[in-house]
Amino acid sequence: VRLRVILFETPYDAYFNLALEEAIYYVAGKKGCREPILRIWRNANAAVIGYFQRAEEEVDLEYAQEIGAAIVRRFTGGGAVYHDLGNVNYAVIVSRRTPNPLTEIYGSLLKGTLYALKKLGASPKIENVNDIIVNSRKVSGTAATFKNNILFLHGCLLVSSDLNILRSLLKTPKKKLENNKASSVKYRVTLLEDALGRRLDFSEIVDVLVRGYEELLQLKAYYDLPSKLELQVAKILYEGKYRRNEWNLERFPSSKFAEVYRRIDELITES
Amino acid sequence: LKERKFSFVKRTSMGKTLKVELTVNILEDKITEIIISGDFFAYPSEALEELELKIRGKTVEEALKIVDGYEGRMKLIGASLQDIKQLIRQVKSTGT
Repeated sequence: VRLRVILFETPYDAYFNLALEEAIYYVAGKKGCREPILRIWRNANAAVIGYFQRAEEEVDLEYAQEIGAAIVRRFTGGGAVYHDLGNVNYAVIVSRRTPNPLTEIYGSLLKGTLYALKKLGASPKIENVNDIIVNSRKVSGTAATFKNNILFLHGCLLVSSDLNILRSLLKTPKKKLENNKASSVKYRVTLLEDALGRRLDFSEIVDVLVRGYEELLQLKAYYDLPSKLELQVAKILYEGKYRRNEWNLERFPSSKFAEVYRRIDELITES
Repeated sequence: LKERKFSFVKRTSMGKTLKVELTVNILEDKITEIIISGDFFAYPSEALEELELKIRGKTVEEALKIVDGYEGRMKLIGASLQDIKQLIRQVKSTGT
């Protein structure tokens, strides 16, 4: 068994990137996941909101339109994030039978990212269950889900993003500012480059993430592409869900997507 | 006007934002619409949507009981069923 590293991204089509994210997880849930998966990818210009969020509350929709940022809902909870090419996303999928999936995800799986950041010379810590902090500022937000013994964790690493765009694009709920001295997440984020005081390129981040998860899982990595089935499922999700306002902008339209999942299940059964 | 809209938000003890928006039919004293949103996590995620559907057409008291029924059936991270109930209850204190 090795660590399957998928380096496949569609930075200029954030909808497909997020569709593929769910597709890989969904196929793992249906077909099993013999080898742990690590996917590393980027979006060029997108606001990605949590499953339970309202787009208009988290994102300045006018500004998004002005700068051509895609607004995409992901299938995991948590808060809104801004993705540009200075932000590196990673997803980890493992098959593990456990009575406490969330403890396993945040207590154990997330360490791969800590190892990665340590390899860069940082001293990272986990805070608020799912945030990664360097120099007491957040550099990585994560989200997770699980089903059928498949654990899924994904997160983003702020390496060299444009924080001015991030601040203009994402709204801060007033409550967050009023009630918390640390204020909202985006007022205490930092770039990994600033925290370390040096330039970091994408390949260096990929390298430490791969080595971090190799170390955590005690497996050798190999590089792979999404399978034909994963891509086919992603295409169905893309067309029927992730490219649609009903998913991205409206809340809780899940019943509207029953047909999409019926088609996917049919495809997986046939394959 | 027989319907009134409410919107309550709180920052939970775990630092997440929880918002409950309600539409209440004042004549019948029933919740006609409820939307629970925020940056928390819910497992399984479909359970939250199901909860919202169940609350529709119910009174505030009935809604609170329905939320209680999700103890052990839905795991929330960053917010709690108590937080949701607290916000729903505010309909009463705000007054219809």
